[in-house]
Amino acid sequence: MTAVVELAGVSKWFGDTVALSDVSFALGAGVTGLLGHNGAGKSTALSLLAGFSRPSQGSVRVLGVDPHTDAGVNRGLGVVSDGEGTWAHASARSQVEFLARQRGVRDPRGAAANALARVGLAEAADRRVGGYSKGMRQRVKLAQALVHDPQVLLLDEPLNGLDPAQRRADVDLVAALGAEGRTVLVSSHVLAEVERMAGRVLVVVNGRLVAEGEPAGIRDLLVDRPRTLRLEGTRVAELAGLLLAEGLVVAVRSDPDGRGVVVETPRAVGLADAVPVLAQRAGATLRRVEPVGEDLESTFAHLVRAARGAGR
Amino acid sequence: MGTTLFGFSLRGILFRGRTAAFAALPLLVAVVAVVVIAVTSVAGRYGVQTTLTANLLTGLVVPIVALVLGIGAFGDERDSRTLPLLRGVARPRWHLVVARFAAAWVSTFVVVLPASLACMAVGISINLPAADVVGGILLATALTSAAYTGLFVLLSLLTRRGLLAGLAYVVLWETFLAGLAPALRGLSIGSYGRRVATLAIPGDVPVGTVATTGVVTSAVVLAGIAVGSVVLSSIRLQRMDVG
Repeated sequence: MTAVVELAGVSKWFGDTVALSDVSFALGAGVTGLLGHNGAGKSTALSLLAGFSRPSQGSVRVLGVDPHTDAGVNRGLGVVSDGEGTWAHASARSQVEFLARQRGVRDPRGAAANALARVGLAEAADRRVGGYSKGMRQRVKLAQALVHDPQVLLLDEPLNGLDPAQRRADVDLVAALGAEGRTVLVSSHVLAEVERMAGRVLVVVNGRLVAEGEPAGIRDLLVDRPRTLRLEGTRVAELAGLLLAEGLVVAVRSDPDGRGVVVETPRAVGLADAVPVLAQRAGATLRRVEPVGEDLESTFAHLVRAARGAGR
Repeated sequence: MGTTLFGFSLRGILFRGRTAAFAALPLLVAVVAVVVIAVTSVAGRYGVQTTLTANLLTGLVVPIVALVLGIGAFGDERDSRTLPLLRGVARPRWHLVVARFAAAWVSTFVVVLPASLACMAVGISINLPAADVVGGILLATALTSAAYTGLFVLLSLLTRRGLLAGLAYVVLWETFLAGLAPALRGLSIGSYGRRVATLAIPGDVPVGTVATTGVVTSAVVLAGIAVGSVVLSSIRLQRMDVG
């Protein structure tokens, strides 16, 4: 793989706060997802790659140059940054055309029209962006990033503020951009969305790169781990007994709200495989199986522990 | 022009509600001038011409308008988080600074034009040489605007509280502290501006408010402040983190 985008030993701190710690990765063509909870360091990594800020330590290269000092990189780089990022006083067409011209596009007017059509804003293009909905402004940002047909795209939470139909359309668009041979790095905190766009995922937790690989592998890593689950239905106590006997759970207790039983399992995937067979043997009918006391933070905390265990 | 760096910047500055609001200040000076011409004798207008040109135009209207528009050149981009987008163009960063400075400068000059024209009208009405009055006021306005605008553009890149810092500078330093001693006047943009404006004023303005340098030197100092500010702003924009 030829590295088009590269972070080497990069750390970034703001006063006493470490936003990124010794992060290294290289990207070639295709879509890569940057997964992490809010505040994990995703936006900081994208900001460094976009040249918006300098690393406190380490080096950043995009298209072979330092994006912070070399403005020429913007001819081949498109960025959707987190936050507002549109000029409210201007129409979508004028600002996209302005950026096309300033990035050296030969036919800025035509390029702006194409980019706006590609994101579904052709009809509203001549209205002031200040009057747009959040979803429409998000699409203007995408058109700004695409207008000069860049080789590299950095997209920071590009699906924020979009309705479900728009999200689906933009997921397809990002996947298509990768299929065209561009290098696309797209951040999100939703694995399911990243899976649909990206062939590779980087997971950032508390400023550290803790996992990378194909989406399926990352999903296994996130799912197949110690979990606490509530089993609801008939004869679930008998089912829990069988699970305990098989060594698939390590603890069983009654749900305090009287909704079935709560079990603790060291490996969720093994439990999921065994439950249908054992439920049949116990004569149990399951109405619901759901995790207890989980949030994204705890999921990523598990990844941090796993990464430490693996010596990263 | 709308998609050139200068044109896009100019539109962004001129079509803001804040710009229209501050355009009222020079219009107020124009109204005062009209009233003065209407109700005052020619002899009585001498003092008024000095007050209007030296104190109101170069001492108040130009710095306040330049403050609002100069700080807005990059300050508004920082507030609306579009500065990364602006810096994401494939042009040297000094091009951005020059375009933004030029747009803010031209906007300031245009917005204060009613006040400049009013001062010219009063000057001509007291039979001063028209060429001196028009030339002096245009030169003083242009150069003072350039120096203030450049300084405030730089300030907008140095701090997020540029408007507050700039206001404190104008109110405390330019209108009060710098007039306390001749040495301090050398550090006042307004004092150089008033020196250039003496071209259009009968006699001299009060010595405590004018730079001790000659008109030409004062003009060079004002231009130098503008150029120096643009250079420093370019270095700042090149080095600063914007996202």
